Amino acid sequence: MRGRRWLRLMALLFAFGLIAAACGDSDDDAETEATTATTAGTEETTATTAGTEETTATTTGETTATTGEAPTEGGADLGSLASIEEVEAVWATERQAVVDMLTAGIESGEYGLGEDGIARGPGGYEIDTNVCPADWSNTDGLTDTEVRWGYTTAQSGNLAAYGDIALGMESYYSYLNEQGGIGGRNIELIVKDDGYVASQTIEAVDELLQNENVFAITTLGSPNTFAVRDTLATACMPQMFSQTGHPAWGDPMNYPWTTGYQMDYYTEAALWVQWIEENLADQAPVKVGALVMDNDFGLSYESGFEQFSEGSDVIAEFVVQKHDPAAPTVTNEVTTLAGEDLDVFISMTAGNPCLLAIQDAGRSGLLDTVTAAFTPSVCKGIEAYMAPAETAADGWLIVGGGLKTSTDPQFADEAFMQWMAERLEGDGLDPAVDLIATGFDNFAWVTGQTLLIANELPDGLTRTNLLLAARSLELSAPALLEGITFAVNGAEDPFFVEGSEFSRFNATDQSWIQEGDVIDLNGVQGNCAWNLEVSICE
Amino acid sequence: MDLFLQRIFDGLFNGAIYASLAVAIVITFRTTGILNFAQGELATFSAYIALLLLNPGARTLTGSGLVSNLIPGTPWPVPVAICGAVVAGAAAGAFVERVVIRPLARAPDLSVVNVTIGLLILVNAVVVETWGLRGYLLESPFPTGADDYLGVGGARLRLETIGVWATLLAVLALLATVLRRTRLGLAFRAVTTNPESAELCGIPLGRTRFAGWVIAGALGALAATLVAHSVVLDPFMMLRLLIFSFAAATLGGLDSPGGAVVGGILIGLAQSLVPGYIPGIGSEVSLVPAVAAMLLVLLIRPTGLFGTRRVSRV
Repeated sequence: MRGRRWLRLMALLFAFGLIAAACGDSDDDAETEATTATTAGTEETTATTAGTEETTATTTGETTATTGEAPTEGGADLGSLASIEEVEAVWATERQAVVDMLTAGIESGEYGLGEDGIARGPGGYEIDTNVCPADWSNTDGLTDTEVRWGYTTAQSGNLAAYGDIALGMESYYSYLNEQGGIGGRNIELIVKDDGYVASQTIEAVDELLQNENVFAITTLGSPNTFAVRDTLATACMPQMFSQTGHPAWGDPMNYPWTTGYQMDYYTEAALWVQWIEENLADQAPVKVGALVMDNDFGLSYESGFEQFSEGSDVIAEFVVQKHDPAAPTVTNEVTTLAGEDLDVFISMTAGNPCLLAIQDAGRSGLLDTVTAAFTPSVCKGIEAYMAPAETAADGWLIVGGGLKTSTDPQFADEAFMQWMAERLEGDGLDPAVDLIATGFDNFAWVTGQTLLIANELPDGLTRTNLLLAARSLELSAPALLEGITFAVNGAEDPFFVEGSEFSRFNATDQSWIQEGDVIDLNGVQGNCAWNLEVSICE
Repeated sequence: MDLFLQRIFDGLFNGAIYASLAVAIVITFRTTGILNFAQGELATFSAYIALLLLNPGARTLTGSGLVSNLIPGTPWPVPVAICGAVVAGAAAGAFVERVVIRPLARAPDLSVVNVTIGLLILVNAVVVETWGLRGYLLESPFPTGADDYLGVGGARLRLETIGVWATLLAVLALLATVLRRTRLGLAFRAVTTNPESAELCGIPLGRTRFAGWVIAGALGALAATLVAHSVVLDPFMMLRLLIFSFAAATLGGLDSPGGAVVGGILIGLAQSLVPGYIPGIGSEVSLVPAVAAMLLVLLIRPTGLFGTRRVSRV
């Protein structure tokens, strides 16, 4: 009798444990990893936040503080600097220039949140806060000690590898928090897993809005960002540095609260067309085939390529095979493409299908018939998507988005890269995982810099100041190749990175080898009011 | 290239992938009467064990040196590593049966199924915590180079396809022998048909079910290690396949391993041929042909193609 009761109790407890595991937060890594252990060997001095005036580093361009004029050019050659302190000094100067420019504008009444409830910025940028909810506040999500930042990402499913980005972000934020955070407030990242499923993103964002009291939100994935864009706009919640290259995030006139960050897919498609026209002109007419993920993300690549190749003298035909984003294999689609006698194959997908496409292209004989094969910028991660394919990955081309890979030996000696590797290792992370590094040196870096700038503006850290700062950034990005500008200008130029290199993968060295010069298209990609019905920018 | 023939070969390979997990599901059902939703996750776990045995440096929770320090001779040759994974899978099945399922012996079947769903979530979380989110391609015991194929009428029949099918059929033959010709097989049938009567006849219920879980765990592990070269090995590998494998198992008859194989073939072929030859259905809706095939078969034969028809006395 007692035995039975005991067994029942154990079974109940075990079942409860299973339920607790199931219902447990997927954001148990919400605490930023403030490392208590000192990282041996690092030589960071204390705080080089905005306001310090060390100018030991060389900067290009001059700082101007008059209204409306562009601040520091950015584009400093960070790679030539000797230490992280010098790099931080450059950023401090560049942040100060943005602060000065915006402050001058705010004080003269041209910029900032006016009496009429409209926040204005450079390049004709405007946010109307009159349409915000009645209980909305410009400082929601800020507590005395925290800046609460919500983040939805894929930590399960076909794109789960992108979940590693969160680890890098947390590491960088823990560094910033050690330096005093944002004016004394720690950045607290609240991570929600949506498995790259748009309906789950909606739920996750609802949780963030209703229960988590966040200051701003970042979403990963094109369909996911689309799914919540209107909700966030209605809630007047900043949708910052969306981790997707869809051109629709460059639409400040209609969606002032939403920004992107990385090179957009339209620019990438244009560069594919450019490469083909320049390198395969003698093979005209060229037949291009693409494996396209069947969602908003894949559609933007497909639509972009169609538009830019229209009327081309070289590209005669463009055929497409779409695949289910959650599919375990893409063999059937690649087989169909292999039967099309293509000259160029372009993979327009993300996540595991990146790797499967490379493997299947080799096995199906597709690579034997084509002259060139491209893998997309989102599949650049060597550790996740190129290395497992071994020799099948050799020779693939990429329009990489202008970013330095963390494992590239030519950048390994740079002060920033070494410092980043030390910080990541100190937090128990492997800097060779590209996606962790990109979370650190791209997404978290730009968020941190923007918060630091916004905090120094009149009225301090507010949501409108956050957007103003973001729409005025001109900085030297640590992970951008030299020659690619990192700049936006309000409503006139909403894209941060519009440039790229062409690279080819060397499977023996496991690295991307650049071919030719970088192409900087800063300001070229116009604002994109994405028409969902016909899937084009208007 | 002969597109039609190539699509047949593709369908056969994908069919092997679905069939291998489907057989594991069917074996559990056949031997214990339980539909085990966690079958795939236990199989994924075993595949990661194979990964560690092949790549002791792979990133794990405990750092990358643990396996090579603890287990001599790593990295092992691929077939040996797979055997190691199969042993791990059998052990996992044994552990789950003993600790989770045995205490619920008298509980209604639905409760047990719910527990297996919880187990799915738990094992998945353990795998994520231990090995992280990135994917791997597990080495295959068969030649998988771009040139390792037989040219048949212009299409490529990959050696890997032949190898996986040969293994699957060999395992099936072994299973059939066990189920039909041994006392254990008889015991399985007795236990699933009428547990009370079986016990009264002296058949040890607990041990029989235990054996069923061990066999299913081993089978699932074998399935996962064979397919993890063509489907990315990550914590969600089997979750992606589960729906297709369940469709295959249901289509073939939930208590027929041979039926699971036939079901797998049919679903794999449906997926590769339907989008290619029926206009309006693209391969982006890859689940539709699979579910449609299952629906069609169940409408005509509700117990599946080779399932046992249950006759109940009124």
